[in-house]
Amino acid sequence: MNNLRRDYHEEAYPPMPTSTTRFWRKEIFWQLSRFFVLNFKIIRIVVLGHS
Amino acid sequence: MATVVVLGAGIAGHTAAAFLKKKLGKKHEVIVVSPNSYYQWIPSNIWVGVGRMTVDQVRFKLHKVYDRWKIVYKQAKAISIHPEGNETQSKGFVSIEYTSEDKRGQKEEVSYDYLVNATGPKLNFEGTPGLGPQQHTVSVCSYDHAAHAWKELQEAIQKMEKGEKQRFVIGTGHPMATCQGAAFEYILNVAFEIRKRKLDHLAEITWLTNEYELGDFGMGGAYIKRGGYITSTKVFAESFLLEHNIHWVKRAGVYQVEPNRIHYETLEGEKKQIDFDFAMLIPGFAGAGLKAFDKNNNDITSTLFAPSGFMKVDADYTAKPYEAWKASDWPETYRNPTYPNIFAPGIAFAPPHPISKPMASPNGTNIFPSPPRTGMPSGVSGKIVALNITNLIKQGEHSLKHRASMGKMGAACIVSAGYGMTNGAAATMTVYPIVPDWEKYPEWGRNINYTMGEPGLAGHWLKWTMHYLFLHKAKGYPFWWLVPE
Repeated sequence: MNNLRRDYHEEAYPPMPTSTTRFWRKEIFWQLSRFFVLNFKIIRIVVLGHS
Repeated sequence: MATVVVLGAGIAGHTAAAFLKKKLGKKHEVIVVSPNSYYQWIPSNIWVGVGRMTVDQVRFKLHKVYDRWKIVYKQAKAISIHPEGNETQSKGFVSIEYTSEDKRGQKEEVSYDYLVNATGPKLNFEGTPGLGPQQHTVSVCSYDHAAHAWKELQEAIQKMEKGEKQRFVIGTGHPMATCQGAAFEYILNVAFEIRKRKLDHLAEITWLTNEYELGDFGMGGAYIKRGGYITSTKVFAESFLLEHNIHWVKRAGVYQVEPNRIHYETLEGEKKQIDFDFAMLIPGFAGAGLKAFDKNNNDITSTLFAPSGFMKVDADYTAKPYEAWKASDWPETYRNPTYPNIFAPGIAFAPPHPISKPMASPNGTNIFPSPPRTGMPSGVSGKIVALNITNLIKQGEHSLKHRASMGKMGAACIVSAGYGMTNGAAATMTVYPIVPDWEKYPEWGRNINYTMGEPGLAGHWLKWTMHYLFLHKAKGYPFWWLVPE
């Protein structure tokens, strides 16, 4: 991946997730809680979209 | 007894037919005309395209459901609409041609009191010479295309297993193609499968897109709250590609594909090429190509349809510059203004204008995404059309109560980035509204509290759950109507 970050080209600017971020993205219990939070957020959108 | 004819059995048409029959009951007739004998859950086709699901996991036979619901099903394609009838009949009718084995080629006139045109898009592979599964690229727009893509992907993987380098190009195959989301999911899933096999050192993966900036997705991008900042989907999408070691080429209008070579024009007007061993490019979408005739058999196709082939509805089609576009230009009831007993939900309606800012090269080539109407907007518009027709039949003409404008409706999109219950990933995104409303939300165009993006394993569980939940609904299993669109 580091080969993309050689100089000032466009692919050098986006943020790369750290190993800690990547860990939490896969951590089962944290993700389980996010599953319910995301469900709630989606339902909010669905309810708003139906007249 | 009223007869409602539904053309198409995709997300919009199937949802409309289901609610029409549920609300109208036995007293009225619902007829579905669809050339394909299967319903398919299109969002899961990307998993067929990487071998994680079989074709039969994303489709089912329509007649089984329609027989149970007492919906008349005709496996046929619609040829023309005659909204005023003709010399022999005063009611509007649709000319159809059967595609089923037993009646192939037979024609019939199906009369209606209300017509729901939910034919969806024609996948316009012809719009780009050399594009498509019959030519030099693959597609994941339908289950059979996705199965073919998986076959081709397996061959590329086998070559890598033998030590051969492979170039993968995935993205949009027309300067004005839309549905970037599906292609974006596919490229992330392909990268995931390659990485899982520890072959990533032999793969060069490139995202080729007509977007001005990554993360546009045909809706002009979005601003989202992330990590204590308000950032754009450009940063979100670029970060995702960088993490998966995927390069990108943006502002590219593909105009020709040759074996192993894609030709594209840049927004600067340069003609460039990119070589590939495996390419999945989304084609441009066009209307289904229906014709329309009045009672004297005069061609009135341009009255019912926009030049793109999509049906005119209650949108504001006045030509105006980008700066003058408003969320209120978008339709609310999907009712045709000339023939009020015709509706066009889902992808079949003609959008008033794009959502992304129009961009053209010095050569005059438009290079920007068309507006998306897939998924949630299709389902919601199909449902409100069914509810409004039900009210029209039961209560007579009145102001339509149910409305669902893309300028007031949100959408949830789960961008899969790899299949696996413990190691999968997806980005969960919501936007509200889909069409930015700069009058109501002058700062960010959308409600920033309802517009978000979050990557993680939970997103994969959500997409996986939705696959089974929406198929449960489409199959009409118990309490199907409780599942939202």
